[in-house]
Amino acid sequence: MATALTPVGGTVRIEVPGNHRARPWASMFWLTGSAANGLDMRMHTGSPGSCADAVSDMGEPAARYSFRHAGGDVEVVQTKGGLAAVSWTGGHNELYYYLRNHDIDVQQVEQLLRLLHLSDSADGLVVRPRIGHGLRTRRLAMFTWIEGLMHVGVFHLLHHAQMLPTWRGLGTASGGELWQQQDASGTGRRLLLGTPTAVVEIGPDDEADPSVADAAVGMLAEYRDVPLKADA
Amino acid sequence: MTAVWQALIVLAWMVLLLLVFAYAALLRDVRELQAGVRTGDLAASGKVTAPALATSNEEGTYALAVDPACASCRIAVGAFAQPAAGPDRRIVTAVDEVTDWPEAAAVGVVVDRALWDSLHIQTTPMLLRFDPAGVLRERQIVGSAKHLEKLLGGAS
Repeated sequence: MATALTPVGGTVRIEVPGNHRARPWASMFWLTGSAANGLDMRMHTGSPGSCADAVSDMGEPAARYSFRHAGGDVEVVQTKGGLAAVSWTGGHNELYYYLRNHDIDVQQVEQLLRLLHLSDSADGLVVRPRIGHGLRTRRLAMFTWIEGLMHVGVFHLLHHAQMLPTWRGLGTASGGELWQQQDASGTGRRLLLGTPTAVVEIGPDDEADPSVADAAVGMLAEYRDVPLKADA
Repeated sequence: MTAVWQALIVLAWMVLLLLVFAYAALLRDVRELQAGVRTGDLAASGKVTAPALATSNEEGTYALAVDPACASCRIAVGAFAQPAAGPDRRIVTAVDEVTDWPEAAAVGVVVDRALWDSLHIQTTPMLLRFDPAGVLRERQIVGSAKHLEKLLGGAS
């Protein structure tokens, strides 16, 4: 899977080697708009089936309508409880987001989707806000899960530099300095990568399964030579 | 000569206006940076204790941090409020509005602005795990209702 996010011209691209395409994955990122359009959305992308799950999680639908957009099928589902889900299903990947306002109409949905450039392929889904609408990512830029393997969080360095330890890392990996962290319970294991623009957090998809944790670390071929040990 | 002076005065006013706009933009950036420092994760790496979430349950407490403006939170609360064994379950929020959610009725809602601020929630919904003494032990960003069910099932 290659997940790419292009918020304001820069690209965060995560390449995971191996036969990962067979694994279900999900990703989410946050977009805020200008004062004029007032947008503030949490967008989800994922492998086939993501949208169906998102809609079923909302409960009984009260209304739904669909149309085509950017080579994919768009479906808007509203519930009586005031929630709505907008889903876009492409040939390879899917995208959806929730809204609270169930009065949203098809024109508004189309306007929202037109702010995004979607590029869908077997390698992943690139969501690129169109220039000129003031869209930007929020402080937490992106979070991705690969089922049975790992999660990857990408945080803007400007707002999350404090996540990085004050002591030296275990080594220098491609793109920055690497640390290993344990959570407060002492059981979790995470890698932190500090780059000039972002803090990248990498952890196992299942904390309770040591083999998954090992696989998560092992899959990061570039980091294999970094000794893993508890933080000083 | 008068025309030249008038042109210079107009130019000076335009430069002054530009400086005012630049200063306003600078102030805005400084405020954003200050807000970033205040809400940074440094404190999150320290010990956070929530007496309201202490319990006699030796497995501790799961708390789901939610924001009423977040549609995903409403859906996550529906999954979180399902009856289950294991740790106690509570919803943590900073404002009263969540107590009106029918989905929240099955579990207790802790409305505590001070606690919320001390938790340094990066995004909502977020699953937090507290030990029986109410000390924060773990935090997980929640992607979807199914992801939440997996997090709850995997650790209980």
